[in-house]
Amino acid sequence: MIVRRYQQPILNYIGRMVRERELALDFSQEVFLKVYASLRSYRPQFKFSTWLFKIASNFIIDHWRKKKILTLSIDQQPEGDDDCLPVQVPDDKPTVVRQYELQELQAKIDAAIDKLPASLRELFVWRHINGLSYEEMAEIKGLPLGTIKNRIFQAKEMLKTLLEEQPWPA
Amino acid sequence: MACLNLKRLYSYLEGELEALEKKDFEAHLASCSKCRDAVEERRRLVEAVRALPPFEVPADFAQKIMDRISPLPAKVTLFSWLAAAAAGLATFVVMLTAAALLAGHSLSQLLLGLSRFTWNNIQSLAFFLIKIAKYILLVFKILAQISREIIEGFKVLTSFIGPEVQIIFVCVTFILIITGGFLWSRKLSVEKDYEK
Repeated sequence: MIVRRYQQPILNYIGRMVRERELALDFSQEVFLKVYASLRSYRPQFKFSTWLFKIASNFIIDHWRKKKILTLSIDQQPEGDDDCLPVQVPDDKPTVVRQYELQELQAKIDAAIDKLPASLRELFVWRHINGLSYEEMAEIKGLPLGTIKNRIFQAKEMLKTLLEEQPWPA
Repeated sequence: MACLNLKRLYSYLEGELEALEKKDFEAHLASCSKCRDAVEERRRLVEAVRALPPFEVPADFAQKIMDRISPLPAKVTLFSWLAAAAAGLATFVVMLTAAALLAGHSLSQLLLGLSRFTWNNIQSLAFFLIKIAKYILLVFKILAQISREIIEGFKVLTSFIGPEVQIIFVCVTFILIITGGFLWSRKLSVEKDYEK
């Protein structure tokens, strides 16, 4: 059954995007209903999960448009999108990620992911939580592979910076 | 070897470096603690993200969705209509034949009756089609007459207006049509985008 198979990845994705559990559950339900209603437009030459995530992504974009949320929306391009990674290896700051236990680190990461711009957060979640490939993400977003890779690198660097900025317990 | 930039560092972590590049990079890592830390830190970060606990799915989540789903209506195609009509006709003929045979009619009588019935119906249909054709012709004649009247009206009207004004009028009308068409297509594309 489609719902049982994909409920966890869809909820993980939508939950990280909208940040509220109840809203994420409602949205996930709506996405599955939309998928069911659109089943006839699904073309089997495409991967089903790709099509499903595309519907979910469009659903969130629509929600933000209707609510007129002014954050950097997931269909907008972040500033300096291409080849804008810092070129040098990071400085000699203490390696914060290594200093803390996994559980503590995860709590910090959760908070930091929420602070990522939506356009980067979406790709980051797809890649590292849902395990989508770069090719699948490029197909869902209709963007070149290089752009997708750059955005994910950007997201990771931004996440690392956000973690470094967070207050850490002594 | 100089320290690598971040883009290549991530390519290494994603396993996307060529074999030779990877070997060079690993050799560099062995001698550069700064790069080793940078790689290790990012690797741990990604591992920690992957190990994040998933959102808990309520036990009745799927059932709630199923409760809201109504069965999709069957897709009706032209073929299905034709198939249904053919099946209906075949059933009717079979039943009629069976009834006639049961009533004591012979097969030859039945065929004769059927051919008469068919011929009469073909005749009626032909008369009906001729009548329709006549009406269509009449409608065309009326439309042609109306068009002639409109053209005459335009001729009279344009005799009062100078050619410059006529050109301006035509241009303004053209621009209005193009603008209207553009706005309409934009409206449609926005609606389509939202429906995606």
